[in-house]
Amino acid sequence: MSRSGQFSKDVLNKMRMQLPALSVNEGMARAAVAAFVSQLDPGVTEVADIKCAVSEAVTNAIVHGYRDREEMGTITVTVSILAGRAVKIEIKDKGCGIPNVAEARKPLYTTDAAGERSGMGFTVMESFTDALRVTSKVGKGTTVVMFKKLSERGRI
Amino acid sequence: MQPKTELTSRERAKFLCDTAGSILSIRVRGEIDHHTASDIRRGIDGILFEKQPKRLILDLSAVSFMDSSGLGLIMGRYSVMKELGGEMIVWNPSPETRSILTLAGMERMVRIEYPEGCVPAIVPPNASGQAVAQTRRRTNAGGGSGRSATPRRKAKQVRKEEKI
Repeated sequence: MSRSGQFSKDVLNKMRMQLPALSVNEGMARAAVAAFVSQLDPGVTEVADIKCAVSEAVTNAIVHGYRDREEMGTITVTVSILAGRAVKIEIKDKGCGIPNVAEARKPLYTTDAAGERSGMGFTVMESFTDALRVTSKVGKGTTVVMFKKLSERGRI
Repeated sequence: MQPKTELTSRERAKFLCDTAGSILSIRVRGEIDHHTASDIRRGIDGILFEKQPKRLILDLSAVSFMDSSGLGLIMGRYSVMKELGGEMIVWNPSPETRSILTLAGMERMVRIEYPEGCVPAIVPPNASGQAVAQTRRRTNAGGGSGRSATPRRKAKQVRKEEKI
């Protein structure tokens, strides 16, 4: 299922941020990740892919993870630069969790059709990164880990 | 088709709308995500139900970011237009929106149109510009489709952007 094993364990740089689970913060979350990754001089498409994948994961945490919460939830985003021009992005919430991760990952699967959610969130994350790992526990929360290998751009 | 009225404005996204007869054109500018999409949706639906256009042209040429919330927005407006007995066209989606539109297979559900001579090829990352050039030649050779209602100026502008 996951191809995350092919990525280096050596962390060259790491950033962690915590944000309140408010939709207004989605733009900041992806922009901050893109800014951190920019030290690797990624290509325009690579940045766009990363931003989109982060946006999907953060949106999921807000829309689904913390949907029934009375008090404000917190989302933790951890970005690591790995040896070999790779990026690891971990997005974690302490929300309601996903009962069936395999089903949730299927294209067009959504629990919120009325809200015009397309059900493409996990599909986008999977397509725009090189590996996706989703772990979830009902009542405890969900952690999404994405890996992306950047091209050797600018090193020719 | 030049936008005239600014209807809503938030931090990251806004849209402009213009009507010509039974055609309503809406140009979205900025980022479409879960946060901005609900605002844009409310705005567009308000106008749709008020004006009841026969054709909705959703101009995505100035969208700098779009995630799957944008897909929901497009499909939702498509359903509304169907309900109203009209049709919808996605006009000139920006390079930033194309990969997700392609991923979702949006072109099979909704009409996506580009200015004449600017039909982009689906180029994998890091590929050379050859494919784009070929597509451009092909569309030019095909002659005018006569369906484009956009001023020349806009087409020129897009062409210039593509060359960079």
